[in-house]
Amino acid sequence: MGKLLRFELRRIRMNLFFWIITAYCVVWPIFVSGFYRLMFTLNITDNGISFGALNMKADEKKYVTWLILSAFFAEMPKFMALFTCLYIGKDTSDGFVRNKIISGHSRLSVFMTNNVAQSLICIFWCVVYSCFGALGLKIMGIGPDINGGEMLMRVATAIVVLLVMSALFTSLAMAFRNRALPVVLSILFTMIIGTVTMAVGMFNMPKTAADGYEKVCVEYVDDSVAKGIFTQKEGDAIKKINTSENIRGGKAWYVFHPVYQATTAGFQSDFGMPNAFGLGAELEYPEKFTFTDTFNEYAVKGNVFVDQAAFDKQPGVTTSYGAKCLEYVLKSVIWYAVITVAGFVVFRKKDLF
Amino acid sequence: MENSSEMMLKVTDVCKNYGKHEVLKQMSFAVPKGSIYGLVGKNGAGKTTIMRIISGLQKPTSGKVEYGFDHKGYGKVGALVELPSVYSTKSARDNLIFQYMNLGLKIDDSIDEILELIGLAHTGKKKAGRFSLGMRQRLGIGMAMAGNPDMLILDEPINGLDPEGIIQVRDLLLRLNREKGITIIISSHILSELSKLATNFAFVQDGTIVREVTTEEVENAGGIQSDFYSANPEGLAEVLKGRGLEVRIDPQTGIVKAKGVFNLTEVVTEAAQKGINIARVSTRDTDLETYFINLVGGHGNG
Repeated sequence: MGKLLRFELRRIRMNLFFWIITAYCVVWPIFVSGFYRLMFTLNITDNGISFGALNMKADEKKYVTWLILSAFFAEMPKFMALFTCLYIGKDTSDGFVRNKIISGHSRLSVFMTNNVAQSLICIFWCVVYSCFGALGLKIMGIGPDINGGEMLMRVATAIVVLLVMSALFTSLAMAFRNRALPVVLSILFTMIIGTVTMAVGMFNMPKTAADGYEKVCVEYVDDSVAKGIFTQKEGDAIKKINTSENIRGGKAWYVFHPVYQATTAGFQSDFGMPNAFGLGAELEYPEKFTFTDTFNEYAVKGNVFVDQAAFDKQPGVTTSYGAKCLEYVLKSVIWYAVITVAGFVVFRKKDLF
Repeated sequence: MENSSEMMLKVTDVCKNYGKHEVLKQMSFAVPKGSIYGLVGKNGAGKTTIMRIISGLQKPTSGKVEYGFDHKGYGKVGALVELPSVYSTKSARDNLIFQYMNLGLKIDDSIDEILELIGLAHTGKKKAGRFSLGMRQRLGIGMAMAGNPDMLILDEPINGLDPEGIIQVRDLLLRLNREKGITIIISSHILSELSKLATNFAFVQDGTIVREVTTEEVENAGGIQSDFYSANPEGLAEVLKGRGLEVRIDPQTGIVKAKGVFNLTEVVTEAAQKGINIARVSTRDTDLETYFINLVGGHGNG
């Protein structure tokens, strides 16, 4: 397999499309860094447009660094889908896969070589994207602030999560003789995965955390009623809205929460990546992962303003990003293995024409 | 495998189904070492399917394929099944380099030797995508030859070749077989060419082998056949029958068809004495095409 892998990597190095995507990974993050620099220095006044000095808080720099370094997570899947399906599809349609089998390579070897080669490309592109993002931030004077290396751990986790997609695209490309079909399927997948991620991410709350939130909410409302801030009727109405089940998202939680737990689909949501290019939100880089944000964003109704620290003390509400990263890495490794095995089972039985 | 020293390949009761469609039905044959084994059959008979199975491209539904040599080593089996798999954006030389890399071989002068052998040494940097079909076929054969295989599997290798190309490929295959001892399994629709190459034949019909024969057996099966052209075919037929030949008259053309050995001078003399004029005689051995048509019936493609 080693010889075949070297052969594949050499062929990939000679592929023009590969270098076009690599060039994109070099140029685009630098361009986006420049865009952020403009946005943070732009002054629009009655006297016109002017550019002032860069004045970013440390937390803002940290957050922008994260957005730029992790932007490949949303950017690369479509390129990976195209490259993997076109490259392997050409191998299949033009008969190079047949050449390899006839030459004496086992099907396992051929399949795994493609899988590993495509994974290596995925890692390569992501690393190039992140590195040039960091370089762009440096050039623009924004950062980067890698938060003592913790951000690198997050980036590495994002790459591992993306490898699941690489395995999926490879398996699809090797399952079909038709080159167009895997391309269409993979592109469709990349188009809907963002929406799926958002949808699944809304149901990330564990029941213990939601119960804790309800408990704190009830205590807060009872206290407020006692102090005369709310009437009893208002308090009851607020409590009725902020039940554990409502906070979790109703009956749908029982369907989507298992999906969130079993898959890597909630990654973007959990790590605050959907806002990568939106500057409207507060540029906050949380040091720990808390479900409170999710509660406030999606579930809580009735003008309840309570101390976040009170929620954070509830069981299951907070966890470290280290633990979250480990969770996603483990899930990704399992999914990578499952998809690879399933892809190979299909390829092993496939008639090559 | 029994007699592994003599047999390069033994196919036993191989069946292949595509859904409910049965393409191969307990196909069995054995390929002797050093032979050029020709598979002959109509379109859809199952020739390409069995070649794919032998090459490892497809799995048989049942049955077994045994090899009389270490076929699992890289490049021990070379194959050109249907269209040649060449890298269209690369030159002939680069294609061979890729094939060498695929096989884990050292890039050396043997690449140029193969290019010479297949007649593509002069193509330089011309991309394979711009080759004629014949050149692609030859490149495909060249790639199949990389690594000095013990066995070559060639499905319709002379398809699309011009007459000169056919002669070149035929000579190439004969040289590979005779000089390097490579066993070749080959199929072709051009039976006249196949008969000039193959030492053994297997006739494939409806997914099974109906007969395995050697070239000698084909030649001896029908013996010498002669066509007599005469204004009096009935009278001539009597003369020939009197000399112990098997005779029939073609009702469409009136040609007298005789099977067996005869002395032409004696036949002409006797016919002349009886006032029977013989305008023309053509004599030939039984050829592969005749044998195939007699065996399989009809005039379908081989």
